Amino acid sequence: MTKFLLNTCLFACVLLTSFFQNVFAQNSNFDNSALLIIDVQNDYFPGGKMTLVNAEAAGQKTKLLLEAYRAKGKPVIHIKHIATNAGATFFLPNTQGAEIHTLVTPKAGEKVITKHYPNSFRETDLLQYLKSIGVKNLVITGMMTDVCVVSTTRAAFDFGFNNTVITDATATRDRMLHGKTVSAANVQKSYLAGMSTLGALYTKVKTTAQFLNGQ
Amino acid sequence: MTNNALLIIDIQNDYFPGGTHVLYQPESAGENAGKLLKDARGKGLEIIHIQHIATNEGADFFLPNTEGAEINYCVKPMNGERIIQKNYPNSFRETELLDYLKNKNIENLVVCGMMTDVCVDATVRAALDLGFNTLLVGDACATESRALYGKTVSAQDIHTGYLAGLTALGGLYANVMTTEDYLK
Repeated sequence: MTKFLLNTCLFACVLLTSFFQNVFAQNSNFDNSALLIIDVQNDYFPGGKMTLVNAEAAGQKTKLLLEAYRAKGKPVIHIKHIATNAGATFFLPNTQGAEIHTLVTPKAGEKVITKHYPNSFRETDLLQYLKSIGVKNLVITGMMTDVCVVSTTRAAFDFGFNNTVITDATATRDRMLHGKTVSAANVQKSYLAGMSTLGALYTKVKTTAQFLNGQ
Repeated sequence: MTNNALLIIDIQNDYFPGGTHVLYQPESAGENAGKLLKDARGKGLEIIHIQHIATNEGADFFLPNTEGAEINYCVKPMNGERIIQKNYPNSFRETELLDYLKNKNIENLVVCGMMTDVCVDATVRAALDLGFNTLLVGDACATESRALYGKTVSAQDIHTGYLAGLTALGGLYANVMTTEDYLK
């Protein structure tokens, strides 16, 4: 009988411990980090001039992350591309297409950085800003995976940041190579796999759910 | 052509059969790179061999003073050709590459090498930011299969995906050609 009570007690303790661990677990994914939202702008969405595959879905995931960062009072940086190169066909200055999509509209007080090149650090104050707020870890979301997202991630690595790319909060479109189509899905998985290879050299990759669950 | 340079990235023994990090079909990429090298020598192009030496903790290939870190015979440097060693994927990082290219007034890079989705991609992206025009010879590059969420992404898919991304938006980062087309 004593043994039975003892066992029950132990079992209850284990249950309670695991309950409290779950409820009060610190999600260290947010520590020392900033959320970077790259080019989630109207032209990439249905009706825009350069529509992507799954822009809506990626935008929705990005919104979840944005809300989590706001709730925790952690820094958010909105990156906005404005095309100034000759022959550019989207994200043109002073157009509705270049506006940040309403899914992730910046709030007053949130940092918005305008860039003109895929690499978000190029000729912008991004590096200086990140240093000024003491951020070491970047959580990267946005569009397009194989252009602005990868370029920014590679540059961030070279500047010494630890990166996490949120896979389902990124998107791209079909590409052409030697006259053949390479599907957006293939481009997407290739870039995510390549960026995170060699022991996550450039970046870790996580889904939105994994990141928000503290995995 | 005087403003052009051929950049051969990391075609080193460890990436070939018998090495410690064997890629998918490195021989055919190496053979194509060899053709580019021969052509560049014939034309008197500036030639730069990039050699990766791993100095990071836990590295298991391209280790200092190993046979695996030597440049493969298919693109063996000749006397007088520049060899630049790097320790990061981006060939410009903490190397004399940029200074060297500027001194030689190089504006256009012809790039080939390994791996497509790491050192080649990183170097080509940095090159754009530094003001170079890049022609990437796709079939003189190689990589390996990767894992993403426990699923394999084949070397061919990685290779094709990366080349397609690099040449997106009107060849923004690079024009991608085959060896055959380039040599025509």
